[in-house]
This record gives sequence, C-alpha cells and structure tokens, in this order.
Amino acid sequence: MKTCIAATAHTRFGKLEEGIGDLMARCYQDLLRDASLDIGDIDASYIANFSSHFSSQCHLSALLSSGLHSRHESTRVETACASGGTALKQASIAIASGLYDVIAVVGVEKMTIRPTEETTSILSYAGSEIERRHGITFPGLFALMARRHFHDYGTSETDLAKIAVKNHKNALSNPNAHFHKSITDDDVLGSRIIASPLKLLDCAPISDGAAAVLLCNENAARRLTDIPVYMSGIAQETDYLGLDEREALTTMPAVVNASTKAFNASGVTPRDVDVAELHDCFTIAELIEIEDVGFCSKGAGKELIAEGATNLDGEIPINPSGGLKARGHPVGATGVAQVAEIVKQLRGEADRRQVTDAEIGLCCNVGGSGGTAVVSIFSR
Amino acid sequence: MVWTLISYSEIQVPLPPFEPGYVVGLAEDENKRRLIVQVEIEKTLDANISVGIKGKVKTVKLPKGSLNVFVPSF
Repeated sequence: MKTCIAATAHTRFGKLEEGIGDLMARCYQDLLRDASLDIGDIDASYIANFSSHFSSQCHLSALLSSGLHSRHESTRVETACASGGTALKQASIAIASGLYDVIAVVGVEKMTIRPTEETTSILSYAGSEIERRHGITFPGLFALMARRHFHDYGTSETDLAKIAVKNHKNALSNPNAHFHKSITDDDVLGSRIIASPLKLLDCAPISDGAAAVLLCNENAARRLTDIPVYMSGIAQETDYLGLDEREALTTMPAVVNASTKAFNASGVTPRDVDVAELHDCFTIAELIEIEDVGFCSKGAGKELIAEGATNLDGEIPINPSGGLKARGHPVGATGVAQVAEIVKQLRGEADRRQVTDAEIGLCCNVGGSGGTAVVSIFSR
Repeated sequence: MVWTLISYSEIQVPLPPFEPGYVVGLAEDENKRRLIVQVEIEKTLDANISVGIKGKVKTVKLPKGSLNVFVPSF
C-alpha cells in the first residue's frame, strides 16, 4: 500500500504573535480545510516539536486537543531539528502497517519569545554535554565542519555566501517565508561573525511557525485529492551525538546512510531528483548535504553552486522555498515545511518559485550536528 | 603526547557564562583520539591559528567537570 500526501498547510514563518498552542491549532485547521475534512476524519496525529523550554509548555498532544476542541489520539515526536522528518516517518509506518488510513503531521516551534542568549543555550541541548562545557554553540559546531571543509576541499567563505544569496532570492517568491529581502555575496561576507568562519547571514534565523501535511493510504488519497503525491521512500538514520565521536567533520554519515536507504526504497537515484529541500541551518550544512545526498562527489559541491546548478532554473534546484536560511527555521516545523514545499512543487502549485516539470522531489531533514537525518523521496 | 588541531572556530555569540572571543576546536592525538578543546590564546589571534598546528592538551579543573585546553606550539 502506497503512502500519499493529500494536503498541506503552512503558517507564515517569522516573529509571530500567537502562542504555540494557537499556532499549532490554526495550522491544523488550515490542513483540515485544505483536505475538506473534519477532525473526526483523522485517525491520529503526530506533532513534531523540539523543545518545551521555549514556551514552557510540555504535553503538546493534549494541548492540540484543547486547541481543536476535540479529543483524539496525538503523539509528540522529538529528534532535535529532525523532529518533523521523524514524525513523518512514524506516520508513514502507521499508514503502511494498515492500522490507520489518515494521519495528520504538524510541526511547530515558538522560539522568538526568548532572548538570543537563552535560545542559544536551548539549542545547545541538542548537542553533547562536553561540547556545551567547552562553550561550543550550534553555529560553532557547523563552523568546525566548515573550517575543515575549507581545509580539505578548498571551499571558501564566498562559496558559502552564494548559498545564502540563492536561498534569499528564492524566498522572495514564498509568501510564508521569514525573510523577503534580497542579499548579495558582499552582504554575507560583510555580516558580523557568529562563529568563524560563519557569519550572521550564513545562519538560519530564529523563527516561530507551524507546518502540516496529511498522510493517507492510496484508497483514502483517491477520495481526498485529485493530485496525490506519493512517498516513494523514507529513511531515518541516527549517528553519535558529539562531533568528536565522528570519523570526519566534512560529512554527516546519517545523511549518507539515510539517503542510500531512501534511494534504494524508492528505486530512483540522485540524478532522477528534480527538486530538493535540504536542511540549510547553516550554509555549510547545505553544501555538505549536496555532497552527502549524492548530487555530486565529496568536495565538488562548490562547483555545483558556482555553476548555478542549484538555482531555481538549474539542473538540481535546491531549496526553492528559501530553505531554513530564508524561509525560516522554527525547529519542529522545519521538516514538515520541507515536505509541504515539495508537495507544492510536484503538484505544480508553487507559483513564481515553481521548478519546471518537477516529478521527483527529495527532502533532507537533519537533527543536531548530524546526529539524526531523515531523507524522504516523493513523486507525483 | 603531540596533538593536532583539526578544526577551530572563534565564538562571537557565546554560550553563557563565556564571553565573546574564545576559540574552540577539535584536537587529535597520534592515536587518532579526538578531544573537544578550547584553544589557549592571549587575545583574538585567529590569524595565527590554522588547521594542522601542533600542540599539547592540558586539563583545567572546573567546579563541575574539566576543560580541555589546547596549547599551540607557536
């Protein structure tokens, strides 16, 4: 039995007024509207959310019931920034098992209510205790990866800047994006250092937001939509927590392994992918994932970017939504938002950011510094 | 034991209680054992640090746990 995506919803990402409960419930109701369903038609829900520290709110499953004024089964899922992908994976297992026909996956995070210093600390809980004890922030972890990539493969700060510029350009056509601002290489290179060599404009912003997708089996999809999008493969891999436990800094084995499994399950290869949403929490993360997913060999990512192959009209458009960098990164919502974007692309509903003739799409959602990766592949 | 700095970063938006401008890194010994470290610098000397420099690692006791400090052999 194939798993399908029949509907999507996506709030604006950015600094929003609503609290986490209202944000989650509103997005969920938008999803029901998109599918012309009532809450009673949903068998179960999975909620992707990273940290209760931001909103001082645990037990989001019951909070969702309160927000929807309806009792139904829901479960919160957490794997740091990969929570959305993991929730999707759990939902797909539940559909494939035959236990459920229709499942809603909603990802949500409310981050902007905390000062940056506090947010930096909360995000660091996704890393190891020894990293925190030495003062290594999340930008710091990816900075260590970037510095080593520069050393091993000759990648430069300008190569990374081009990723930020591209993603900001794509976000101009995404009404839900956190940023609608064009930037240049010089803007990125001239922005203040966060963790050298990464600068402010190499980093995804701190955002609020929610996104949701409706998963169902093929029979339900026929009832619910004229344009089902099929999930042809999904795989999750879990690595060690700390960077010091990995063999290399320039690759994320969880991404490599999850990609291999997802491609094997779907029967396609990286060459077949028409559009991808990669997890660019930092520009270096997009570069490493381009290589680890298999769009090019290790170290060749910078050439792909320089040639414009990852642009909207390129050979393999990456992050047409604007990515985490410019669409925004409300952590729990990110993995779900990636899927919502790919579904729009495959349905031909992405308006000015539409990738021509997109038939196969890929999402790569990464938790921590690569401790978790979920890769999913879709086709229409 | 000789240690090699395999990567480093100067942190300007720190984790509390640190102040901006400290340098963190990963060091590797001759047996390929890796350690998270802070790099000992007198001030912001980013230009003098590079991937591959050699040094030693000393342990500084903290109220909770300890800090690995890479001391470059400039």
